Parts: sequence; C-alpha cells; structure tokens
Amino acid sequence: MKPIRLTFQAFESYVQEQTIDFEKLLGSRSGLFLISGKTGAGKTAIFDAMTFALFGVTCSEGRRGDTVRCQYAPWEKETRASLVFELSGRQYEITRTPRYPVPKRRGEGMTDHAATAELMEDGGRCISRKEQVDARVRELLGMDEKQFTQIVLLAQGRFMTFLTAGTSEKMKIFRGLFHTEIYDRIKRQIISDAALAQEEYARSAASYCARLSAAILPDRQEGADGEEMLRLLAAAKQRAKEGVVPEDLKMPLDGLEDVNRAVKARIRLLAKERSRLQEERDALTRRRTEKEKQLAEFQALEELKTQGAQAQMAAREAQDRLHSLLDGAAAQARNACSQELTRLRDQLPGYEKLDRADAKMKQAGAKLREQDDRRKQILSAIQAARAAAQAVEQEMTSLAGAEEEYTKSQLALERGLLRRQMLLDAKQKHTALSRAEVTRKEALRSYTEAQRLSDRLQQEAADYERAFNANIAGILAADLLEDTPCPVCGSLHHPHLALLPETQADLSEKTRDEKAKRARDAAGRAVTLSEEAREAQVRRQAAEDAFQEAAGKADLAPGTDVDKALALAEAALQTAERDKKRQELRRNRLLALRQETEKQRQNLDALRARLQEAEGGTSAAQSLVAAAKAERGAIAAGLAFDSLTQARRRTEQLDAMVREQEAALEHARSDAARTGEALAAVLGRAQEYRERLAGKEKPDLAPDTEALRKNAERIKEEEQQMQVLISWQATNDGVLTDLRRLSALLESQRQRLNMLAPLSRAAGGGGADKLSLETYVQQVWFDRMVDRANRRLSRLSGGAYYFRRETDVSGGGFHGLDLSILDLYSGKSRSVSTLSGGEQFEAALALALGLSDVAQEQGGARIEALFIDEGFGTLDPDAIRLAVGILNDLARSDRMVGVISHVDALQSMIPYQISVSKNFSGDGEKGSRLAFQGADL
Amino acid sequence: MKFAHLSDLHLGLRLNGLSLAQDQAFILDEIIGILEEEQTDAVLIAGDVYDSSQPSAETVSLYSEFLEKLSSSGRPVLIIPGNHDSAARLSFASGVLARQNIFIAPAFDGKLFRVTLDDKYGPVVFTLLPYLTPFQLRPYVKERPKDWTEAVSAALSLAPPDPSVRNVCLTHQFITYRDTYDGVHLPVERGGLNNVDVSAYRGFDYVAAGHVHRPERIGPGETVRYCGSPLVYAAGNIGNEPAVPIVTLGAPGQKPEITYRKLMPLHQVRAVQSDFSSLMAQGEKTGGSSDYLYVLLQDENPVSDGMNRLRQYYPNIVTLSYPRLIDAHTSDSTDGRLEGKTPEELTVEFFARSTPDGALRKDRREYLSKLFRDVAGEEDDG
Repeated sequence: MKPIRLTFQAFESYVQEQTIDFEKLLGSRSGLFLISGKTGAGKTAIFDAMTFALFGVTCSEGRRGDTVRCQYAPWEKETRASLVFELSGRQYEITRTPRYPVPKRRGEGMTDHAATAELMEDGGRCISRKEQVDARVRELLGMDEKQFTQIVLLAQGRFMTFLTAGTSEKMKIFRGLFHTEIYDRIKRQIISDAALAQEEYARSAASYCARLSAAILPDRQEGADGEEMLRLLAAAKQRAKEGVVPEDLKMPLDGLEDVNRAVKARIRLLAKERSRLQEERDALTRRRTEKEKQLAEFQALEELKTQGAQAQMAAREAQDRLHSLLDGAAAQARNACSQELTRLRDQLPGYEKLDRADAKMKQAGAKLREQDDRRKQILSAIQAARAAAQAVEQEMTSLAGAEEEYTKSQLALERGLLRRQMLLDAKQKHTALSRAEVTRKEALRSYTEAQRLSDRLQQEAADYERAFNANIAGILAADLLEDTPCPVCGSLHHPHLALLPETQADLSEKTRDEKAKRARDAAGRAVTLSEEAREAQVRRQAAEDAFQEAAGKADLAPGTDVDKALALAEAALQTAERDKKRQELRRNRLLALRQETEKQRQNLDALRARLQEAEGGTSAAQSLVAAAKAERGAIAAGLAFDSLTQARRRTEQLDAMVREQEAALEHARSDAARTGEALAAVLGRAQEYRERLAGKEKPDLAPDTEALRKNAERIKEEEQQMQVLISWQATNDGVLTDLRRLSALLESQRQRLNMLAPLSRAAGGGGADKLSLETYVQQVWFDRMVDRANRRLSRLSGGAYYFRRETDVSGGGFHGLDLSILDLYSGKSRSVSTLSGGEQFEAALALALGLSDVAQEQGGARIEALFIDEGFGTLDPDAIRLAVGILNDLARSDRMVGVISHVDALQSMIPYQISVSKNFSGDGEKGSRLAFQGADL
Repeated sequence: MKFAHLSDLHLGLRLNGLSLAQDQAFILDEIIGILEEEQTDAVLIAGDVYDSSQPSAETVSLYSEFLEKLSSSGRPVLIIPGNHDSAARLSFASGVLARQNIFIAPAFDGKLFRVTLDDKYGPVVFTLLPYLTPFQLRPYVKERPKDWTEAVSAALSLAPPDPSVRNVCLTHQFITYRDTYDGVHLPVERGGLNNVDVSAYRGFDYVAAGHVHRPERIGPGETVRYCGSPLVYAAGNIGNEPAVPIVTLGAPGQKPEITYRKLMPLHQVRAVQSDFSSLMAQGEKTGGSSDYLYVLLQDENPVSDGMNRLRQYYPNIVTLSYPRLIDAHTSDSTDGRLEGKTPEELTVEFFARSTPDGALRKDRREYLSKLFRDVAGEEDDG
C-alpha cells in the first residue's frame, strides 16, 4: 500500500484543508521524506489522518474517532480525511468523516454528525456503507488498524509493540499478512479426516466384534489341526466379546469355514438316519392298519348287540305309553273338557247383557259425583262470604265514633285559625307599639338634647353678659379710684374692684346679643321638642292599649312573647289540620263499610238459594245409581263368571286342552310303530356279522402302537438335533458373510488410518518441536524476516546485536515466534527489554524493515510504505546517520518511508520535507499549517 | 601557485562510539607538518570539516587550533561547508577571519563566493561552491532544476569561469562520470541519488572535490579529484591510503602538476578475520594492538563475553561480528525454504521432516494433493 495523496481538514489541530501530494513531494511514488516541526505542532496528526482515512480510528491511543474533530474549526467545516492510495497496481480513494457532536441546524442543543465512509475502487466501483468499507479495507490490506500500526507505522512510543508481541499475536499478524490461513484449514481438514477415519474404523471394528461374538463354536473339532484352529477361534471370539479385533483377520474366516464344514457334515449324517427311521415307520404303519380293520369289525358286532337290547326296550316302552293313553282316566278327562266347552259357548249372550248393565251403572255414578261437587263448591263460597262479613263488622266496630271525632276536629281547626288570626293582629299591634316607643324615645332624647343646649347657651349668654358687664366694670374699675364713685352703683369704696377678666377677648355688645338670641332660639326649640315628646308619649300609650286589647283577644298571657305564641299557634294549627284529615278518612271509611255490609248480605242470600238447588240434584242422582246397581245384580245372579272377558278366556283355555290331548294320543301311536321297526332291523344286521366273523379271533393292536410310538420319538430326536445344527450353520453362515465384508473394510480402513494418523498428529503440533503446520510455515516466514532484520540491525548496532528466534519450547504456551537478542559482544542472549531506549528503537526499526522486506518480496499484503514517528531522539548522531542511510536504501528499493522527527540533524540529511507549524498565540489564523520542500512542491 | 587539497576531516567522528579525537589531532599535526615542508601557497578544504552539524566543544577546540596553525604563516585558507557541516556555524566570524586570509563560503545565497589569489602568472580565481541541493537553488533561479547536475550547473553559470584566467573550483558533491560510479552504472531515473555529472564543472583547471572518502579522480581528465579523508573513517574505506594532493598550477593552459604526500596515522584501521582463541593467543603473545579493528570471528557461535575479553588486548575493536553465525542461520532458515514453493510443497516438506528419510510416503503425498485441490476449489467457489 502506497499513499499517493492525503487530504484532510478540520482534523485534530488543522483547520484549513491540507493536501499532501506524496508523488509531487518525492517526485515519484517512492522515497524518503521528513515531517519536521516543533513538539505539538501537529506532525503525528498527519499519520492520524492517514490511519483514520483507512480504518476510521487513529493510531494514537485514546484518540477515538469522535475526538479528532478540530476544536477551533467553524461548524460549517466538516472534519474529513481522504486518502488516495495504490495497492497491487490499482488505485483507490477512501474518504471518511468521524462521528462528532454538532449543533442542531434548527433549535437548541447538539446532535451527532454521523460517521461516514466511502471507498472508490479502480474501475469506478464505489462502496459507501461504513461496515462494508471497513471490511473491504481489511480485505485489501490484509490487516486491521492494530496490525497496521504495528507494521506500517512505528508509532511514537509504541514501536516496541511488534518487537515484544507474544507469539500468538505475531501469528495473527503473519496470518493476516501472508495469508497462512490455508495451512490452518489444511491442518483442520487433515485432523478431521483422521478423526473421521478413526470413527469409521471403530464402528467397523465394533460391528466385527459383535458379529464374531455371535459365531457359534462347537466344543471340539476333528483332528489336531482342527483342535488348534478351534482353540484360536475361540480365543478370538472371547477377545471380540471384549471389543478387541484380531490382528490377523484371515484366521477367523478360515476357522469359521472349518467349523461350518464340520457342522454341515454332521447334518448330512443326521439326515440319513432320519430317512431310515421314516421308512421303518411306514412299514409299521401299514401293518397296524390291517389289524385295525379287523378289530373294527369285531367292534361293530358288539355294537349291534348293544343296539339290539336298546331297541327292544324302546319298543316296549312305546307300547305301554300308548295303552295308558287309550283308556282310563285320560279318556275321562278328555270328555269333561269338551263338555264344559260346549256349555260355556252357550252362555255367552248372557255375559253380554251383564256387560251392558255394568256400563249403565258407571254412568249414574259419574253423574252423582258431579252433583256432589257442585254442592260442595257452593258451601265453601258461603263460608267465605260469612268470613268476609265478619271482617267488615269488626272493622266497623273499630271505627265507631269516627263521625263525632271528625266533627270535633273540624271545630278545633276553626278555633285554631281564629286564634292565629288574633295572634297576628296582636303581633301587628306589638310592632306598632315598638315603633311608637322608639319614636317617643327619640323625641325625648331630642328634647333633652335641645334643652341641654338651650341651658348651655343661656348660661353662655349670661356669662358673656356678666363678662361684658364686668369688663365694663373693669374698665370702669380700672379707672376707678378709691373715693371715686362707681358709675354703676355710685359707691365710693371699692373693696372688690372688678378685675378685667383674664381673657381680654374682644367683647362686644353684638356678640352678647347674638349669644342671647341663640339662647332664646335654643329655648324655643326645646319647648317645641318637649311638646313633640309629649305627643309621642301619648301615641305610645295608645299603641300600648291597642296591643293589650289584641293580646287579650288572642288570649295571650302577659309577658309571653308574641312571636313565640304565634309560632306555637301555627304548629297547633298544622296539627289540627292533620288531625282533621285523619278523622275525615276514618269517617269516609265507616260509610264505605256500611255499604259493603249491605252488599254482602245480599250475596249471602243468593248463595243460600243455590245451595238448596244443588242438594236437590244430588239426591236425584243417588237414586239413579241405586237402580242401576240393582239391575246388574239381577243379571249376574245366573252366571258363573263375573264378566264377558273372563268367560271368553276360559273358553279358549278349554279349547287348547282338548287339542293337546288329541295330539298326545297320535304321537304315542306313531312311536310304538317306529320302535317296532327299528328293533327288527338291528336284529337282522347282527345276524349278518355273526355269520361273517364265525371262527375268527380279535386282534391286539398294542404292540404295534408301541413300536410306532418309539419310532416317532426317535425321529423327533433326530430332527431336533438337525434343527440345532442347521441354525448353527445359518448363524455362522451369516457371521461368515459379514466377517468377510467387514474384514475387507477393516483392512482398507486400517490402511487409511495408518496413512492419516501421523499426518494428523504432526499437523496439530504433535511432533517433537510442537509445531503445527501453520506455525511451521510462519516460522519459515519469521526466520526470513529475522534474517532481513538482522542485516539492518547489524549495521545499526555496529554488529553488536543479532536477532534470534526463541527455540526453547519448554514452558507453558507456544513461543515459536518469540524473539530474543543475541549480544555478540558478550556472547549472551538477552531479552529485548534489556536494551537501552536507542537500541530498542534500532531493533524495532530493523524488525519493521525486515517484516516489510519479507511482505514485499513474497506478495501477501504489500507493505510498500513505512512511517516512523519519533524515536530518533533516542539515537546518537552516528546512529541517526546509520538509520537514515538504511532508510534511504529502503526508499531506493521502491518503498515510501516517512519520518516524523523534531531532531534538527535530520533536516539536513533528508531533502524532501514537510514542515509543520502551529500558531499557538491567539492572533492570526489558528491551527497547524504545512509547508513543503519537495521535488515538485 | 601551489596549494594543498584537503577535505572530509570529519572532526569529532566516532567509530561505533570510539572517539578518534586523538588520532585526528595527530593527523592534523601531520598535515601541518606536510604543509610546512611543502611550503604551499594556500590550503583548500573542500567540506565536511566537522562530522556533525553541532560538533562538541572538544572538536571545535581541535579545529580552532588547526585553523590557527594553518593560517599562522598568513597563507590563505579556503574552506567550503560540506553536507555534514552546518554552513551557518562553520562560517562563524567569516568576515573577521577573511581579514586573516581565511575564506569560508557561506550557504548558497544566490551569488557565487569567489576568492582571487595571485601568483607570478597572474590571478587564480577560486570558486568556493558550498554543498548545494536543488532546494537551495530554487529561490534564485527561474526554472526549477530537475536534477542535481542541473542545479550545480545553474549555480556555476551565475558566474561562469573566465577562460582568460586560471580557475579552481571547490565543491562538495557526489560527482559521477556518465552515470557510472566505480564502474557501476547508476540507474538514471533515481532522482533520490544526488549525483552531479562531471560535465557541470566545465571550464575549471582544477576541481577540488570533497565528499567521497577514497582519493580518486572522476572522469577522463586528471583535474576533477577527490582527495579523500585523511583517516580511514569506515569499514568500507579500509585499504584506502590517505594522502594529501599537492597541486601546482603552472601558466594558464598548463595542466596542473599533482604530487601526493602520504599520511601516516597514529593507529591503523584494519579488518581482522580469525577465531577467538587464536586472537586471544596472539594478543597474549604480542601484547595486542590498539589499532581500530573490525573483527570478524570465524567461530560458529558467539563467545561468551567475547568483546570484553578481546578488548583486553585490543582496546580499540570497532565492531565484532560472526559471519559464520549469520551464514549458518541464513542457510538454515530462509530463502531455500521459501523460494518459489507452493503451499502444497511447503506442506509436504513439513510432514516430511518427521520421516527418517525426509520423503513422504506415496499415499500420503496423494492425499495431500487431493486435499489441496479441494481446498483450492473451495476458495475459488467461496
């Protein structure tokens, strides 16, 4: 993978869109370039942008997709990274945006800008779903972001990761890079094939053992060889029962064949013997049959004799019976029956008459019942009416006096109304009284006030006058000397001189006159008011009198509250009304009841009349019934049976009996005849046989039977034995067939298993070096990589260090791809972690270059670019020179190498440069910037 | 006009961490001695004075002393910065130093730095071209030079040499003749290889070049030369015989005469191939050596604490390596095993390892073939 052009904007510390055209920078698609700049300027961000464009995540740990957004970019500027790269001769362009919060276009708050990815392939095919793009990138590159940053990018501070990664991690990387999965698949296939073969073999073996166990073996065999074979076979069978398949698969087959042959031979012998016995049997049977025939004849004769005796007896019996029937009691009985029968038949009409009289009687009875019922009904109605009348009477009694009560209540009501009226009036008067009182009080008060005022004004006027006078006096007095005459009284001595009043108010005659007038007015008013008061008093008295009168009329006790009394009167009135209503109801009821009584009386009378009628009817019916009964009685007197039906039944009975008797007689006659004939026949036949068997002897079958039985037994024995042997043979035949088949199968399966088992074991790592197939191949790659790495490491370390693959396979886990460092100067092996910082960087670099070499040479995923982020700071100047020399060589071999470093020395060693600067201060354009020094830039 | 051609002093250089200060001081004294004897009219130093762009204090002192001694007699010293030097630092106080006839070319600034010295035949114009990259040239030319040859040509054409006088050029570049170097044809497309074709230096009577450490001439003539480094500075330079070219310019048009004064270092730089025990034995016998040694031990396995033990007798071992070890591992591990093998063949190899004769049984072989066909078939389908 070689980057061709990288573009990004609003990414980490870059605001504006930045484009790095690698081709223009290097003048070709390969070469070495430097990314320089102060710490924090934004150098690593360039690699972040590349990694992000490819994978959607960045190489710096902890920087996930949603924090690559440039903090000070305006919202309209979308964070975006895009990479045009070349891979296996094809060109691709991938563009991604991360997910990050943006303010909503409408409304408040933040929403998410979605993460997008778009991949354009050579030939125009475009993938724009993120998951698909991710998958395709992984497919194309053969690695994921983790592996990328271990192999292609030696990230700042993390270059040791691949170097110190464990074997399993390295295996993963190698598998991804060199596509060694095929070996894993092969291994798994082999193992599964072997397992399958094992299974099949086990199944076949089990079948084989089962079948062999089922073979039936005899106890012994013919001959020494036979015995030997049998012994081996029995042993094999025993082991088969335990599930062990014999090594030699031919032996059981041969053995069983022998056994089978022996069995067959025995079967044949048995068959021969059986034939012979069968022949014997046939002969015996023939002889016996002859004898049997003869014996049969003798037996027939015996039989006939017995039959004859029987027949005789039978004939005699039949005769006796016939005789008994023909005379005596039986005949008499027969006659009696026929006579009775005739008699009854004659009487039949009489019975019919009887029947008719019965019917008539029934009718009369029914009528009687009807009448009686009617009568009963009326009786009960009368009872009911009586009861009702009684009830009414009772009620009427209870309502006695209701009329008077009613009248009383009416009066009470009237009185009540009147009283109320009176009370209302009284109340009115009372109200008037109250008002008059109020007026009086008012008038009195007014008068009192006026009087007071008048008094006061008068006093005032008087005082004023006095003062006025005094004043004059004073004035006069002021000038008044002893022995001067007082203008008022003319006295010469003035012991008490009128002093000028304290208050030298403006005292004037006008005022004095005014005051006097006011006083006079006030007095006049007072007088008027006094008269008014007196009037009011008078009126009040009148009102009081009126009230008292009304109170008297209303019967109001003195001192009682009118309102209370009124209320009481209202209540009483209401009660009286209710009362009156009640009484009214009662009186009405009484009247109604009286009417009712009249009606009832009438009803009762009617009912009584009907009763009489009904009684008459009943007696009539009764007499009818008696008449019918008498009639019937007369007719029945002359008959034996009670009804026609009975008579008929008897007739039929007799008829049947007669016929029976006739039949019996007939039967007896025929019997006698028959038995006589039979007897004759038997006697005749017996005579025949006697003639035939004259002079012959009865044969004895017992010995023949015995002989046959024995023969049959022996045949059965033979057959049983044969049966057993045949089934043995069948079983063993089956077993033999199966075993033949199974043996062949087992043979071939054994071969297959034998072929596969070692492969499977080896493939899974069962060899001494515990290498599985895939790991073996990976080790080959690994060794190659180590070899390439060692060339670089040797140069970088001045020949001091040398990578070595860990070959110690002991200990837990698999360490087949672990690395250690051989210190050639001390001759000892060291762990990578014991190297100094600079040495570690050199080792990591050498290894990365080695890996890149191998990937380059053998196809797989082509890693044609390598990026180193810092690390040079740990090297001394000589080492830097060596490293740059190595990187230059790498660049010359068609690879792109990018170095990030702040180390100044590198700037003079690497001509093509991207310098990154960042405006840290507040003024001017924010963010990082790129400047180029390149072939075409 | 007689001048000495020096370059690639690489003061401060360390061989794998070993300081060469003592040796460098020694050789510088030697050079001073030679120059005294030769009574040169000028000294040319064609770049890479220092090994690093930020030399240590000790190194700077060393150079300072050297420069003093060089110019003690007042003879001119002409210096250009090489690719290892920091041009800016090297030209420290160049104005002041110029008054003492020490002329140091600054980093390229659009003008060619020239020094003219006179001899009985007239002026000799020295063009001091500092180490030049095409980038440095860009601001000063209209057309971007497409390679280093063009860059150098463009720079030199800013003030082409005047054929009426003698011209000498000091330059520090990788000069090649017709894209071959050391008989090896260089791939032409490689822009990364910063070679300058010798044709860029037309018109100069002598080109005192620096950069390559082996003394040699470039091109068909004798006049474009590398004087080489005064000491062996790398394993690849072992076998060089450092010497100082003393160039005598005659009348204009005359070919310059060149003689070589050999330089005898304090310590040799050698490669030694032996095995550990022999070396130790020899060390005991002879007391060892303090030469700078690139030791290749023939032992197949690294010797425990080998370096320290050897350093008892050979304190200046630069590197210690075990070529056999590397070979063994190489042959054991790699190319043979992977080259051109199909997965199937590798698999067969894997299984064959555990067989006594290394060959897989026929039936197993056939099984694997079929298996691979099937799996490959699945992969095609899948």
